[in-house]
Amino acid sequence: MVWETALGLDTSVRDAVVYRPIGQMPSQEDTRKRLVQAALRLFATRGYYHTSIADILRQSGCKRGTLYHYFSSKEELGYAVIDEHVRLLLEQSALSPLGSKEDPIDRLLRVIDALPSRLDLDDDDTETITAGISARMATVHEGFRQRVVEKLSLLVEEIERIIREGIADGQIADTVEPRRLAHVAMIFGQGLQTAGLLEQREIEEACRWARDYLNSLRR
Amino acid sequence: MPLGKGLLELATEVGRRNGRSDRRHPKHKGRDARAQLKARCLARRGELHGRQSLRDVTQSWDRALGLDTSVRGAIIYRPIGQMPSRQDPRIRIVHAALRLFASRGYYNTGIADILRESGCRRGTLYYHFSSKEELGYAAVDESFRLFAKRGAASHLATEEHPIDRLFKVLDGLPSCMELETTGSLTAGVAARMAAVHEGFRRRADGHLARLTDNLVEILRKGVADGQIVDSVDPRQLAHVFMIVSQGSQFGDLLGQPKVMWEDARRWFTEYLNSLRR
Repeated sequence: MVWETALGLDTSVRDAVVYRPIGQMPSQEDTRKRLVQAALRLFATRGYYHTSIADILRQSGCKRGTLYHYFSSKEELGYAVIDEHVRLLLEQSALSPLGSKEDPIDRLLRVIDALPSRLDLDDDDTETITAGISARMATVHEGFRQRVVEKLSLLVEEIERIIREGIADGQIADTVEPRRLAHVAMIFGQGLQTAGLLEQREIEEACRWARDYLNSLRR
Repeated sequence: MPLGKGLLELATEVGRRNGRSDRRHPKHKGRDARAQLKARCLARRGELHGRQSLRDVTQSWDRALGLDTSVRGAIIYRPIGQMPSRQDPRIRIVHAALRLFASRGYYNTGIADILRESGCRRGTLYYHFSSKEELGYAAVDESFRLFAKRGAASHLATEEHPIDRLFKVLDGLPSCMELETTGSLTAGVAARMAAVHEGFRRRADGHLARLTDNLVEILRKGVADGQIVDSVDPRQLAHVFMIVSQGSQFGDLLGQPKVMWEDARRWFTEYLNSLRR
């Protein structure tokens, strides 16, 4: 190494290439994901403005050039983090029951059980709580706020569609107004998420009540 | 304040200023670069104190270079119409800080901004608050004081029917408060601050816990006096009420469509009405 350095060779490049086991060559998709999830974890623990590109590179083990290949700026990475957060929520976490084929009320009940949400990241070695990270980012950046609101309104439409189907199939009492219940559910879910952010004790009681209420809407 | 913290804030402030450099006079650009350089030198020598802001650093640097620093004082740039009233300077500083924290966020607001907004001198600010963090705690306290005295929660203290009191609180949500000194609106600033700082989160949590206890007491009394049906669990209803109000504040913070909260409020009002006896 000393010899190579003296000759002006770049040793760091060799390290990265030679020592990586062949089976673990990252695919394009994996590298991008690793960057986004590293950023997600850091933004969740330290906040967007207190995380530097260097921190993200250290956490993800990627090179600066790799990061800028996928994202032109930290801001763009921020948008990707919000999208990833929503994707994880929908596919693996609190909101995943929404996509199942169960009884609509059961689906909503399972969402309430899972709130306030925690995320498990793929490369997780320690338990990381990233609840409300999008909300946290939305409060510090106008563009992020708009993105989060956009995502939330899609979510409301999805919940409304589920309730509407439930009424049409005769699983939910037809006195229920789908749009209004969806809005109530959103406000309630946001309240739980905020309370989770503040680590309040109100959550349990409120959830029990919400479960009773939802059960009373069955037909 | 620990050294690392001070550096972090300094770095934030430097970044913010550089980000806005298009709005500044070109001659000031060099100053930021100088300040950064100076800050880096100080940090390396371990001489930077948490209290020192970018401006202090800039000024001492300028002085070392033999530049005139007095011209850039806060007084020169203050428009004449905004001369400070004779109100208690502490309150004026806290309200100025609240307003700025609400619009720009805690970490994006510099001490210099607060001084400009409140029309106070640096010495006055540091006489009342030893650091920006302490000012932050005072701002959280003040936002809850306003919420209880003038905001939505003020209706809880009346002698009306408990359910009617809850209606009034719901009507007042999401809560916007007018600050008497600056005449501006602030909403959800405590939540916003709690999201970025662990100490503020704990402080806000404490205030909210007191609010919940207060609510439980009111509902319990309502049940005991026969104004609310017996089947209601006061603690549970209070908690549901807190969660719903927080959902409304959160939606407001995000700038969600109003119709969402309108729907939720109508629904909750109907539900509460069914609990009357």
